[in-house]
Amino acid sequence: MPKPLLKVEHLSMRFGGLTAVDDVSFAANEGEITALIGPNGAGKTTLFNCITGFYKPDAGRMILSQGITEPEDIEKLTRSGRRHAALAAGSICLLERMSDTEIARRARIARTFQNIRLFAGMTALENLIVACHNPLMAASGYTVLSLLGLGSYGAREKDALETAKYWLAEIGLLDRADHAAGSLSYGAQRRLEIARAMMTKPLLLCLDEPAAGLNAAESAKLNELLHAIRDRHDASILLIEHDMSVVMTISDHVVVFDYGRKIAEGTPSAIRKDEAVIAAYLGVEDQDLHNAGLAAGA
Amino acid sequence: MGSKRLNILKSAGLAALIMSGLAFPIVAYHADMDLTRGLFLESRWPLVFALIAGTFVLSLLSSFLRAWRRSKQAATVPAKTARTVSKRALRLISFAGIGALMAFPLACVFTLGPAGSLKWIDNYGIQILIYVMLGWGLNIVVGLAGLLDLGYVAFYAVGAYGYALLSTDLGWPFWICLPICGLIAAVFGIALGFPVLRLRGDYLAIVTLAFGEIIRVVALNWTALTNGDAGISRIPRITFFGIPFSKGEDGFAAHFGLPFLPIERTVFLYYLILALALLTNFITMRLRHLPLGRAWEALREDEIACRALGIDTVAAKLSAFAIGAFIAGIAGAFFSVRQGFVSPSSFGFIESATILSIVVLGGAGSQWGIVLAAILIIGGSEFLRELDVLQEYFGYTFDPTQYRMLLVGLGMVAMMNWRPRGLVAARQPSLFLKRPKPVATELIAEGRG
Repeated sequence: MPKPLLKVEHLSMRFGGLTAVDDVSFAANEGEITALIGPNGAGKTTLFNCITGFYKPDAGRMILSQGITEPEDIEKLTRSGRRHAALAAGSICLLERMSDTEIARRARIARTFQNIRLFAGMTALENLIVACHNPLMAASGYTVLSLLGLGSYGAREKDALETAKYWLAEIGLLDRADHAAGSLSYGAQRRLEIARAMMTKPLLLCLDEPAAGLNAAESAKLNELLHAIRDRHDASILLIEHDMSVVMTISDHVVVFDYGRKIAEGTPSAIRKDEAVIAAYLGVEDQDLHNAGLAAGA
Repeated sequence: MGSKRLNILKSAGLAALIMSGLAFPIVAYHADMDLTRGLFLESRWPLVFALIAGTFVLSLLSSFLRAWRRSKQAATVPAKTARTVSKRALRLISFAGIGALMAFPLACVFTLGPAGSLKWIDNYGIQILIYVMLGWGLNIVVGLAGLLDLGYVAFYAVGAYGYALLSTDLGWPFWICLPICGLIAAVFGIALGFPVLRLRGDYLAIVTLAFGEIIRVVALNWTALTNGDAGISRIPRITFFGIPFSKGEDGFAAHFGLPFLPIERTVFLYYLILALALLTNFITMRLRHLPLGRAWEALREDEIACRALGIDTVAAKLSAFAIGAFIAGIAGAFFSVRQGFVSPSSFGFIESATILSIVVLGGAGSQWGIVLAAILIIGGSEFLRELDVLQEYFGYTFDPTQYRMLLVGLGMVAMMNWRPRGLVAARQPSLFLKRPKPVATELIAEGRG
C-alpha cells in the first residue's frame, strides 16, 4: 500500500469571479509519478502554483508528510496554527501556510516552469550550483567566514561540484557545462531545469509540462530521466503534461481535471477508458448531451 | 534597391528638417553689443544653411556607411563569440596596473616637482579613484544584483556627513570614523531596501531617485545639524595614523626626517583611496565566487526561479543594498576628509547619474570596464580644463569645460550605437569544469530589478 506524500484536500482558488480550482482533493504517493492532465484552462498550473506557494489558495489544506505520521498529528498541527511539525519519526508541512521560499527549503518541493526559467546568462554549471544555495550559504558561514578566508567552504563547494557533474552527466550535458544556459538547445534547457531542481534534493519534484516542445527522441530521453529520478533518487514526481504518449508511458497515477474540478483519477489504463475523460477531451455528441440533459431533468 | 535609396534620402531630409527647426530660433539671429553699448541684431543665415547642409550630408554618409558595413558583414561569416583574454594575461595586466598606480604619485613628484604634481595626483589620481570605488560599489547593486539604483549618491552623502559630524562635533579621529561611516551608510541602505523589496525596474528606479533627493533635501534643511546650504567646514584633516601632516616638530615630515612639503598629505590621500578601492575590488571578486554573489546574479537573471529554489530573495536584496551602501559610505568619509568641507551641493542627482553612467558605460558587472569608464568620464572632464590653448582659435570667451555634458551625451549616443552593453561586454563565469567561457552579454538579463 503506497503512502501518500502530498495530500491536497478541498483546495479552491478564485480569481475575481473565476474559480480556477474548485474543491479539488487528490494525493501524490511516495515513490510514484503522478500526472495531472486536462484540457487547456482546466486549472492545472494554478493548482501547481498553489502547491509550490506562488499563489495563496482561498480554501483547502495541503499536507506534505514525510516518514511515519498519524492522522492525529496532522489535526493537531492544523489546530495549533503552526506551519510545520517535526515528529519522532517524520515531519509534516502545511503548504498553504508557507511562502514559496519556505516550501522549497523546508518542505523540499522543487519545481520547473512551463516557460523555462533558467538563469540564462549563467553557465549550465553555475545554474546547478546556485540551486545548492542554502547548504553552501551555511557552509560559507553566511559569507562572513569565507570572506575572511575561514571555514570549510572549499570542501563543501567541491562536493556540490561533484553532484553537479553527476547530474550534468545524467542529462547528457557534461561537455556543455561551461556554456551559457541561454545558449543551449530547447530540449537541453528543459533537462537542465529538471537537473537544477534535483540539485536541491527534493522529496517531491513538480514538473510543469516537461515535454512541451520536445521531439520524439528528446521525449524518450525525458521519460528515461524521470524514471531514473523516481527509482534512484527517492523523489516522487508530480507532473502536468499534455503529451499523452509521455503521460501514459511513465505515470503510475493520473488525475484528470476539467473546468477546475477533478473529473477522474486512476491508473493510466483505467483513465484511457473513462467516459468522463473521453467526453472532456473529445467532446460528446449532441444526442448524448440531450440525453444527459433529460437524465438530469428527470 | 531603389526604395532603399529613397529611404536613405528621406531620413537625411528629415535630419536636415530637424536641424533647420533647431537652427532657426537658436542660430539665425544673434544679439550683440556695439561700441556704444547698444544692442543690435546680427543675422547669420549662411551659418544656418551650412548647418542644414552639413546635417544632410552627414546623415547621408552615415546611412551609406551603415549599409556598406551591413553588406560586408553579411558576406563574411557572422562570428558572434566573445573575445577572451587568458587568465594569466589578465593577472599580469592587473599586477602591472596596480604597480603603475603605486608608482604614479612618486613619478609625478619626481618629474614635475612638488608643486606641479599636485594637479595630477589630486585632480586626476584621487578624483578618478573615488569614482572607480563608487562605480565598483554601485556595480554590486546594479551590475550583480540587477537592482537599478538612481540614488546611490545618498549613501555617499551619508558617509561624508557622518565623518563631518563625528569629527567636528564629537572630535572622533578619522580611522575610527571610517568604518563607522560605512556602517551608518549600510543601515541607510537597508532602510532604503525594505520599502523597495517588492518594486522592480522603473518603479524601483523612481523610488531610489527620490531617496537620493530626500537625503540631499534633509541635509539642506536640517540646519541645526548640518548647517544647511553653508555646509560643514573645518573638518579635521587626514593624519598619518595619528601623526598630522603639519610643519611643526610633531608633524609627519619631522617624524620621518623628511623635508616638509604640502604634497605629502595629498600623496598619502592618494594611497589611501587606492587601498580602499582595491579593497572594494577584492571584496567584490571574492563575493562573486561565494553563494551570496551567485545568488545576486541569479536574482538579476530570474527572481521567480530563485524563490522556487528556496533562495531568500529578501536577504539577497538587502545585503546587496547594504554592501553597496557600505562602500559608498566609506568613499564619502574619504571625500569629506579630503575636502575638509561638505555641503549638500556636492550630492545632487548629477552625481548619481555620473556614477551610474560609469557603471553602464563600463559594462555592468565588469570591474575592468568600470575603471576604463571612470578614466574616460572623470579624467576626460578634467582634461577639458587643459584645453585652454583652444582659446587662441575660438576667442578668449571659449570655455572648453562647458562642453563637458555635450561630450558625455555624444559619448553615450556613440556607445548605444556601437557597444550597447558597455565597454567590456562579457561575463566571466564564477566557476567552471574545464575552461571558463565568457558569456556573451546578449544572454545576460539587463537587471530590471
